[in-house]
Amino acid sequence: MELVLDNFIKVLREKNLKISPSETLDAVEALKTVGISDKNTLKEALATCLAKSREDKNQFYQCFEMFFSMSKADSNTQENNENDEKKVISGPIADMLSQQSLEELVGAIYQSGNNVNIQNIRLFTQRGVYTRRILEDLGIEQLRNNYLMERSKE
Amino acid sequence: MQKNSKADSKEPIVKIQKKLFEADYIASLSIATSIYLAEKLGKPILIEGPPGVGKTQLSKAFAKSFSKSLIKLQCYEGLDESKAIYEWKYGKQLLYLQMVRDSLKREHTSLDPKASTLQHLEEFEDIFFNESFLEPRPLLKAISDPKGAVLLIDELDKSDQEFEAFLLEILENYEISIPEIGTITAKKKPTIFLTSNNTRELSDALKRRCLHLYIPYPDASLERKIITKHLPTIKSDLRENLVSFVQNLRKLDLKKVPSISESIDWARSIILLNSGVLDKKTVSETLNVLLKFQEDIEETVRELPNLLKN
Repeated sequence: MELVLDNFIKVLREKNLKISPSETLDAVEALKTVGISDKNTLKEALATCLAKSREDKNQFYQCFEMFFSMSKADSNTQENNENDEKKVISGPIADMLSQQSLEELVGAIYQSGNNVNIQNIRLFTQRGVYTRRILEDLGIEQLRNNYLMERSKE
Repeated sequence: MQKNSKADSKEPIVKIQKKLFEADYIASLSIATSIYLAEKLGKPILIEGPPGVGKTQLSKAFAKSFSKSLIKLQCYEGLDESKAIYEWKYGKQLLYLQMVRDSLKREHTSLDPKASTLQHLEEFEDIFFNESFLEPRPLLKAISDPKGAVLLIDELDKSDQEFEAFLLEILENYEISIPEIGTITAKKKPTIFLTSNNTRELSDALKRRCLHLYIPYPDASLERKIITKHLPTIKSDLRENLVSFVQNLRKLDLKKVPSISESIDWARSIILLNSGVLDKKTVSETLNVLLKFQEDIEETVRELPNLLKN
């Protein structure tokens, strides 16, 4: 969770919010105090620590909504992900694709994005590289191999 | 890690809301959360927002509902250490000096050369700067309250920047340095509220040390609740019209839009005038309660037909 907060603060800094290390520490304390069970409480708690003017607050609320609507999907799917891998040979993405569960898929992509440190992306020309890395992290190779094997059986 | 804190995350915040409600203050989630965090993290709260939204009222309600004593420091240009932190009791020091002189005279009638008198003086010197000669002002009072007081530093933006710098020590460590005596640390941390109307930008150093709470004008449902809390006898359709009128008024381009305290005053005067409805006549008669500039009143009177339609 601290890592998620760290990434979130990076996003805020990108949006020109001045956040000092001591404020980051406050935010960590606040996170520990209120927990993550209630989204609105967490939002207000982090807002009091990190956004210190009216303009910053507005900016903060926007970022929060965008950032944490994603990570929620992520935490839901992580466990399912592992289960699927054990049961099905055809691989987790194939499963999600065939079940058409968009939320799980988004979650998995988000998770892979984290794994390949997508937050370090700087230039638009890097988009292709990162797309490839995310696909590899999702197990595109395995999917392709499985698919080819199925085809050759036929 | 956070899973076991599920139960205790929202409960204390709701409790704070309830306690403030009993003290006639309706706190939104953001207000209650910042108070909860301020208590838990031991940090001061900086409250900003337009005038009349209840910034000062919040600290009063907090002191009342947690039965703590409220110590208020009103800021103004030129406010300095001696008015805010401490002052030496000059008169008492003078009296003491006289007593010492008298006793010295008695002992040294055969005024012998300076050497021994000087020695004698050495013994007294330090007593002058003793805590009993100290006149505590609001900040020192709040720090030395054994039960932990509520300190309200009101309208900080009205004070000078130098004074802001004085405050940093208290806000950071809850202690005050007095050069002649040393550092006085709070036995129990006071809850500190700072309010600002944003007439000037406060320094980053100060903001960094505080939690920040912005109280905006309330939305319609919150304003309805606040008015009901303060005027329980108000008829519901009058309240409804009143709130929507004020809400629409805030959308106009006025010099000073009405705040909550003004809309409560307005509701009160309409009830006092015994008119149960919000018609053109009542509104134009009582508009000076709500608006404080002649231009604003004229502008609103022009807009009245539109405002009263809904």
